Amino acid sequence: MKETNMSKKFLLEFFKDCKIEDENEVLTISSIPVDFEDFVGKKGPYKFVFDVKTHERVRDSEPIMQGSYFLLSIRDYLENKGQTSLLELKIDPKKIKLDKKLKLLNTGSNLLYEFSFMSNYQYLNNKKQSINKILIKDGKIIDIDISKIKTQRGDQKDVIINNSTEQYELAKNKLEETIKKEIKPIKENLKIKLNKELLRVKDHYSKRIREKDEELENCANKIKMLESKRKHTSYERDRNILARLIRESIERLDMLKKKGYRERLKIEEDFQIKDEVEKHALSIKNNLMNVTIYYYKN
Amino acid sequence: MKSKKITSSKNSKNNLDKEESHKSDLKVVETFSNEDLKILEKIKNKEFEPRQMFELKLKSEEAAKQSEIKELISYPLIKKNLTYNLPHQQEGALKILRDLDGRALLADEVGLGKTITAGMVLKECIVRGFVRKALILTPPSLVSQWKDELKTKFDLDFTEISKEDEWENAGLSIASIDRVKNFNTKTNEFKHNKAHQVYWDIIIIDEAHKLKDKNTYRWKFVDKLQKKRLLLLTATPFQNDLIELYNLLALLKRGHLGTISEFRSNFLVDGNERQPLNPRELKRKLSEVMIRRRRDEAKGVHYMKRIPRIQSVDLTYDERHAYEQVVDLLFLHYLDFNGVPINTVLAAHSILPKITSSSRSSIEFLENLINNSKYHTSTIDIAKGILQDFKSLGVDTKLEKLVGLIEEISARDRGSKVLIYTKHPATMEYISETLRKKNFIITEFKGGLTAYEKTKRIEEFKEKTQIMVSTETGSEGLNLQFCSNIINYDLPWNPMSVEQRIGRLDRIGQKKDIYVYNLATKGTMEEHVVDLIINKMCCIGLIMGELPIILFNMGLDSTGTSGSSKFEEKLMHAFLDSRNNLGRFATEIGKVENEITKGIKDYEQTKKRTSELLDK
Repeated sequence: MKETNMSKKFLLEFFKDCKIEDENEVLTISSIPVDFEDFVGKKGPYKFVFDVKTHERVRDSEPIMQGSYFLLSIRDYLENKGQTSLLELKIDPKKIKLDKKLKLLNTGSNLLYEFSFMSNYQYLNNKKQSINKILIKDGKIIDIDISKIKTQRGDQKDVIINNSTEQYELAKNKLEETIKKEIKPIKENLKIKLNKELLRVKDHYSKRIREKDEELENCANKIKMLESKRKHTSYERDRNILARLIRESIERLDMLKKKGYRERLKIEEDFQIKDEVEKHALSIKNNLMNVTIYYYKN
Repeated sequence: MKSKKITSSKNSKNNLDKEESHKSDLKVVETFSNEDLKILEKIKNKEFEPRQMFELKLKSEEAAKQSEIKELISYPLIKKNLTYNLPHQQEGALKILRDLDGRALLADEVGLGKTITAGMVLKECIVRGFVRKALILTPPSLVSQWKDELKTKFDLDFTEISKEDEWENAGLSIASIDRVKNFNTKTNEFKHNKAHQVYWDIIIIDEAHKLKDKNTYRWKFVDKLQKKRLLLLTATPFQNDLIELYNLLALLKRGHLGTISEFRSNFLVDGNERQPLNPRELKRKLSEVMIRRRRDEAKGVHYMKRIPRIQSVDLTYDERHAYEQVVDLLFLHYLDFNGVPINTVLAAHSILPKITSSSRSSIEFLENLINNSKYHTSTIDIAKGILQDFKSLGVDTKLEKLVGLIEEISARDRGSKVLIYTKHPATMEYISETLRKKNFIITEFKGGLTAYEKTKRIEEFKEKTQIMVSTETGSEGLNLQFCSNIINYDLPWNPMSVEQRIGRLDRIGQKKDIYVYNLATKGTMEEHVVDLIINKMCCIGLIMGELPIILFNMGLDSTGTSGSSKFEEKLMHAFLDSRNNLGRFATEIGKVENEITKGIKDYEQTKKRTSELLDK
């Protein structure tokens, strides 16, 4: 229910400039901008529904649930939008002087960079996302909750920007640190799973090698035993039979040695290990979503 | 994409340990997008946008955020394409993804829709962004059916790979396993070894029981594929002995059932490969990697009986004479421009079915021959004579039989729908014309219709008309379960094609027993072929989907040298070898029948053994 409300609220906000009807659990949107229709590949009106039953009832409806196709399309549509912003902080100079944290603003440059990164973690059949905002002033990461300060749209004439790449590198380093902490539980969980699978693979191959070793040893012992028997038998017929058995066993032994089973099994084991490692790999994709430059006038 | 790799490592004492720990360490790959630089460029150029747009973007990320797999988010996208909502299919797909990490043996009984369950797994993985490279390996005869189902039901475009150099840039790929497993003994490599260089996000193998022997190239080919997820589909994971099951599971999870020696001592009575020692423990181990459901425990899955009816057509003297003349022409006087005999095998494959189909298609064939200068004048002269005979035929016994049959069906089940199939468009038109003249209201369905036209015609047949006359082309994948009578006006010599015809009706949702009528001309080879395919193969109580498995097991489903299926070739060779001697032809057909009966018996035994272990 909470998810439904959130999705609905979002759709209402996203389509706020369109014609909206909200009736019988169906949100109907019309007069949709053409560029959006082209992007999604579907002409309006759109009938959004929020549960499977309504979806079955309403023809041509679009089911909306967390992660559903339409929401993913809107996200993709917005991907290259809202990447940069300029905001002027409306802040009382007296407050800066008094507040312990805000005092930071009073030194050096009057510019602050806020880098917002989206990190996508993918592992096994899971996906997780996190958004990290990193605030930088004068080449240092600062810890101020800037969202509490009033802002207004900035004027580009008020700012001089010349070292954004350096600030970005700093933010990236900070993000890596943050991610390390974030992925710790994921890594631990994956490691447990991976180790379990690796144990299975390694155990399997060590047993197979042992079994082959034993087979080799048994074969060698058998030859010894047959030779000893042949030495002590006086019957010509038995000697011939034993000679044949010895010959066969030697051939078998040679074949086992020739095949290079240790090397072959090692290659197989490495392949299986690689397969498991790849299967349990954790992929992290970081994207810079937005850079906002804040400034204030002294 | 700039890539920065972080891998955790341990302090190791020596080089070997270092290498070992590195190889088996958790792999973490972290990347930053190159797109970041474009944003920095915008900042440098003072190109700013309203902050509200970013706030909206944050909200869109939150709304689109995917949680862990609790439900199939792709299901609403495909639901409209699926005729029935069968809960076990969704449950199976969820279990494979959520509990089995995408590595599983799907061993549902035939008829439960393993293809649909596998398609759901695939679609979900693609929608969630887990899969970009997917490979499906199927029996040769099922490649196009899979492709078709993936397109129509899951909106997925798979590319068939048949040549060795097509693996580069492979994305969503499908191939015949029989084709790609070929090994070149001279180079000591698989011909399609490029498939082993791709890292596949998912691999699906249909009818995987063929991977029972680890010493075969088939098994080795699959084992060498690098894959993150692997789905093996088969209703009978072992056929003769439990070692086959062991070999199948070795592909999925090496060592899951121990080494082969451990497996023998833990799970086989005195090493007897057919007798499980500890079935409960074996089942428990299997349940960790396998999903198995029976038809009787799945909701909404019921199949109806198929009732075969052979309608013998007794030709008049003139009709028989005309027919015999065409056969003689093919055997004795089929010469090219220079008087050289034309390859009889190819001729028989393409022409004989037309001749047996209807007098209209025979006339069409003869007219084409007469107007084609590539034939010898003597051939053309004979054809002209036969054409006159065909044109002067007063009656069409086969067509009269058809009309009588439709009346008989109506008398038995008033208003009951009838689907008439023919291979040839000329015959289809001929049937339609004749039935219309007799005041039957019919729908025609043939190749070349648009998707919209197809839907319209199906609706028309469902709502208004009693009869639909159809060719095979274009009718693949149709759901006609509201109809329970099929008439094969002529019969393809490929049982898979016949299965596909009957399969239009024999689907989940069919409420009546299905009558399969077949017109067979008395005293011709058609009579024997119809008896074999209908009475001994397609209507013997098998569930839809079982016959292809049997033919696949017997190696009869792949394409032969003539381009037809190997089974079809068998029949055609029998006919050619008999030189139109029906007694000899019947003997040859008897041999094929024995072979098929054995294949069916083997399959039934396999099913029984599988069920004894897995279902009891």
